[in-house]
Amino acid sequence: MPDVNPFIPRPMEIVKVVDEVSSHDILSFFLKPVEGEIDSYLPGQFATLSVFGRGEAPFGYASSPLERGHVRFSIKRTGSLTRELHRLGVGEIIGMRGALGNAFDLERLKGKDLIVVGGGYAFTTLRSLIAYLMAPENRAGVGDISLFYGVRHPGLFLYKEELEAWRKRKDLSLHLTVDQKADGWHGSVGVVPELVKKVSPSTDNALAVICGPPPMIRFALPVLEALGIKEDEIYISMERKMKCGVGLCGRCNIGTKFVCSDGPVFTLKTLREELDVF
Amino acid sequence: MNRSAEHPLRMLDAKDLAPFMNVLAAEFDLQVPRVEGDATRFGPYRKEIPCDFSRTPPTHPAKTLLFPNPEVLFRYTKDAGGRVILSEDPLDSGLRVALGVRACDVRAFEALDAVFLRRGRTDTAYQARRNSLCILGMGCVTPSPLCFCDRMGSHPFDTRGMDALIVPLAGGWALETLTERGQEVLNTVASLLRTASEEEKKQVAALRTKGPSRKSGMPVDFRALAGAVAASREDPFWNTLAARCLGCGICTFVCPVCSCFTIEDTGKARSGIRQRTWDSCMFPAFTREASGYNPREGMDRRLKQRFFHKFSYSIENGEPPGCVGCGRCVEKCPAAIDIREIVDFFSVEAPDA
Repeated sequence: MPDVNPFIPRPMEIVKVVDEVSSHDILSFFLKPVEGEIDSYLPGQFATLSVFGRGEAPFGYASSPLERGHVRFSIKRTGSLTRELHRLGVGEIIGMRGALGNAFDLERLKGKDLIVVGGGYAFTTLRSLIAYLMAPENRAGVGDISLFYGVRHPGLFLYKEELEAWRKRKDLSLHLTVDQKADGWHGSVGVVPELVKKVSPSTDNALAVICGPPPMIRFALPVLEALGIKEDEIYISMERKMKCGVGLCGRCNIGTKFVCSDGPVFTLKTLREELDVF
Repeated sequence: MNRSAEHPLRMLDAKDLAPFMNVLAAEFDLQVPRVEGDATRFGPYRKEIPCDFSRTPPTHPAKTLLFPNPEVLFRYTKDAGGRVILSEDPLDSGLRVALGVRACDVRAFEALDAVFLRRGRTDTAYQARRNSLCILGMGCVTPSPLCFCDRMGSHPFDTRGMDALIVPLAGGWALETLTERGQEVLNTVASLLRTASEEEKKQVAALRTKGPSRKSGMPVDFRALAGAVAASREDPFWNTLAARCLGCGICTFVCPVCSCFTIEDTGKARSGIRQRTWDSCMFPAFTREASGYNPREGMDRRLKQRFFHKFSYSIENGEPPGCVGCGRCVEKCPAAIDIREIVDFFSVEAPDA
């Protein structure tokens, strides 16, 4: 197949918008191609979204590839592009390039227990993975799933209905926490790494996946390692500012690796040994 | 490779230089080092715009031929129904002839190839430009006192990557064809060329022998350099440099190897272009995220990124070194940061030099 211009986005129509959190600054956009089929993707990958005339930026898929008829991105209003995106509604057309980057190592997850650690807005890419693994056709392929997820206050949990549904299931143990006490919140209070330590999930046959703000990752790593997980059994989804998303524009490297094209998912081992991070 | 038997040395007398360029410009997209104020920069040949082949090297790097700034990635228009139509500008096809490119800039093309053709997705516009380029390179009879290609694995008469070599002599240019493409291009000006005299052949041979023997310093052992740089993350040497660096980024703009870019839209929601423009790892905004977090906050981190990329990451990744020794950044840096001193600091004698 001849090479195609890697900068050309695909026109996508917004088919649904969901206001996700009490601060109203994270919206989920459900998109479908204006023409043709959805491009295939895997949990952990990302795409760029663009508003023509404003620019483009990378976002991790929030949807699982098993969801039919749409791709979903949960987008926090942060800069000028996301402000513009938040003004758009159903029926409007935006650009998309993807899927980009690597993905979570789904082959290696087979038969393994999984410890998922997420914090804040970054949970969106973990939702893609969990929804994928919880789907009936995949659930038997992995062992126990322990999900740790923390936000600043209860209103900021993403995907609340889904969390409730997961809470009721026997084949996933859900551990939610908020930074500070709040009215109506009867769950755990405190930061995510402390909750992981308190629960101490079994690590005998486990892999861990982390995505969240850098301080949460930094404090969660020693907890996981103390529980016995080795550094090549911990996967971290990294973020860096990106423009091209395809290994060309030069800004997202950490040492020799480009987060966009070599990542965004790296093992802790790679990050430590080759890249001098964490 | 000795092609002198199949392609005898040809001579272009100085008086025929203008007709030579006129014929090439009529046949091809001819690019020459044009005079722009105090500077020279490659651009399309125009009779009325003076060119200057005497700068070694030209002020602006020849990367502009492959990686223009700015460059349209695509155009968009939205019709009344909200439908978005994207269109691409046509890719280069016919031969583009670059006249007077120096060895350093041609070596840099190899480093650009590693980025745009091999590192990630293929950059199709770059690829088209690269494939359509014919390089009539020029040897450096009087290299700048600031340049040091000989330390970086090349020399002033290095012909690798060129389609023909021009050697400037007192009475005109000696031309040696190196590839079929070079021959094809020079065939169009055959009537202006004559066979070189024995004396001219001797002069060219002498210059070409002298070229590789130039010694601006010890040749660099890139593997050793990569190792030394990789181990220097905590070295106070970098803080000393960072304290002087103004973060102006001119080193990256005049560098023939630096190729980082940003992407931006210009225009309105209804119609406009998405383009790329050169960017610089010396600028804080290069890596600052929308949240305000910047993994490379601090001049020292940005400076390290630039030189680690050039001398460590590129080597580790099996790409050509990020410096070809053109000396442009040495000349332009307002804080007198000298890349040669950085190379010296991290040691670096080639074992068999």
